[in-house]
Amino acid sequence: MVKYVLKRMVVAVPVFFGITFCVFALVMSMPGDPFSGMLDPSMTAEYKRRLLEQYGLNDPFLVQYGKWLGRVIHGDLGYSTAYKSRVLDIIGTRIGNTALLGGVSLIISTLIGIPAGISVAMRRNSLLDAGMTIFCFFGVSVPAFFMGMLLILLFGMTLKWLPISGMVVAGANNVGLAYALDVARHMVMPATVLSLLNVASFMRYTRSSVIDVLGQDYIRTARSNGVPRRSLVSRHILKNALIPIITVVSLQIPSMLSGALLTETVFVWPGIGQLNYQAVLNRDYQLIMGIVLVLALVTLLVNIIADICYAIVDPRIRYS
Amino acid sequence: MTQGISGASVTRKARASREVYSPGRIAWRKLRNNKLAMFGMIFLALLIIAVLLAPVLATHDRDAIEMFSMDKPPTEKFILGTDSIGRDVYSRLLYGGQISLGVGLAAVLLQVTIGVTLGAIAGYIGGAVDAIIMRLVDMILCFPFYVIAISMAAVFGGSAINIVIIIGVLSWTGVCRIVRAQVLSLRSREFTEAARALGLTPLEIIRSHMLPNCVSPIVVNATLGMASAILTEAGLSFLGMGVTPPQPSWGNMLSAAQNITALQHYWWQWLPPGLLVFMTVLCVNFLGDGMRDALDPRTRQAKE
Repeated sequence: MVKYVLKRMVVAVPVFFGITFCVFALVMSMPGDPFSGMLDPSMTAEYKRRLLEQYGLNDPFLVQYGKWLGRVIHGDLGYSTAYKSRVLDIIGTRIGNTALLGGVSLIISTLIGIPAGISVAMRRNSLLDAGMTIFCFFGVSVPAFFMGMLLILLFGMTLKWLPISGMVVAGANNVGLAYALDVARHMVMPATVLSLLNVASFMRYTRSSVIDVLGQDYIRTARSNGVPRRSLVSRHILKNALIPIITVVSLQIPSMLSGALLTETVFVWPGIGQLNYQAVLNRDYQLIMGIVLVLALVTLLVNIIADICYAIVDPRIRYS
Repeated sequence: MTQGISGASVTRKARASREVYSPGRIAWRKLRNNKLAMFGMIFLALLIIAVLLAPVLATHDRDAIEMFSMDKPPTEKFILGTDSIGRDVYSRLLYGGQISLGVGLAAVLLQVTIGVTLGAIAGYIGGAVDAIIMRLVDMILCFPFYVIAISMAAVFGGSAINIVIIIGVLSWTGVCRIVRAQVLSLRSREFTEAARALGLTPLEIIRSHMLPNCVSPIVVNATLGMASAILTEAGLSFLGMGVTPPQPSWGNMLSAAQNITALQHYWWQWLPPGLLVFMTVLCVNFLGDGMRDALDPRTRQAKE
């Protein structure tokens, strides 16, 4: 097991460097420089040149990458020129909001998607199964931002039930329970949009995985040995069917972080996706790089953890 | 053993009815019986025809601006009203469809080309080359998709061609893995050795003896990939990082809804493109899923 974990880690190292290198190359080839967005007419060319020099933006490419990587190892992700603050601090204030939104959606979609997938798999080709299959198709086909806008129009503007943007009522300064309720009200719509896609994909994967297991010989054997239906489902079917679901759920975490970009932008949720959109608009190189780095790290980590979980649950992986 | 018996009985049955079904025909018959897939196929066919006939069907010029008809609701003259600078929404929808569907198709072609090439190289050569290509796949799968996509769009600038490149470069990994696995497993088979002994070049072996074995998963993957490519184009254009106006695409027409007034009062500006993206993606998914069921021999058995 230790050997497997180590092997998995070693594979991740070149991937990590590859990612940072590619993104750094990309960010550095962005047109314009971070100071041209400031539009300060009093800024002379000489002053601008000094600023570029000061921030090391005139160095050769590899030198800049090396310097940057060296700082990263010491936990310094750079300085955001647009927010006038350390990149790590800005990300720190935002990532919690994304994690909250993503976490709630993930829990909701797991709680709905997996049981629903199991129950339709057990009633294959029924009316419920057909209905749910179509629902899943709708869920994976509707553009997240379009869905978001429809919700804003319906519940935010026409019915005026829910706030349409942000995370708290501006200037309300609620504390304690009132604050939590305020956030929850703001979260209903973005969480619904984010969950819809995941419910659909969890349900489809669970359904096909359970159906796969149902066709196995050992299920027929268990049935013919008179195993009661309840324990057949819980001990024989679920145990085997849920193994691949680990991968599906864990793969959804990074795609949630990335997919949240559109949802967060539509609902102006102050998370990392919305921050990233702003950073690209502001040409805030260091911030973009920092966000991509943090998200890539999270993705890598989640993938490693998922692989390890998989190996713990399914010994066949460990020894292959 | 079981295979032999069922194979023999199939041949006998086929002989009895004097008709032999090729795998392709069996798949087509299964697809034809799938109502959702057929619905998707017909809808897409009609849509493609409508979009290709845009110059004939459009009632106005794509970019023609009616100075005094901004934000006008649907009338006889403007079937779906006008947008914020007085252009005909219906005509722009047709031309926008050319871009949205074209981007989806081109992006899929690009991702299949990259995926098949790298997958075949990785599987056939193996060793260090394989390791490098597989690390590349791991790397791309770690990229947070929209995050990297909007950064790339910001660097290269938004245009239909750049969107195709961005989607293609970021989504070839699925096809690559399929082809690599297939080539890897066929590399040590007898017929490959025989082909090599006959003096066929690796390119010929891969092209005519290995790739035909993975056509079905590639086709399914490409179809479903087209659905996500259309969604991605819409998303990027909606954010203003995709196809740039005045060239219309369903995505950038949708961004009209970012304006609160338009969202509340001018439904004809954003609802039709939104519904078209949704319906197109839905139908492509119907078709892709139907093709997976039709082409996968495992579901063929399970459904009987």
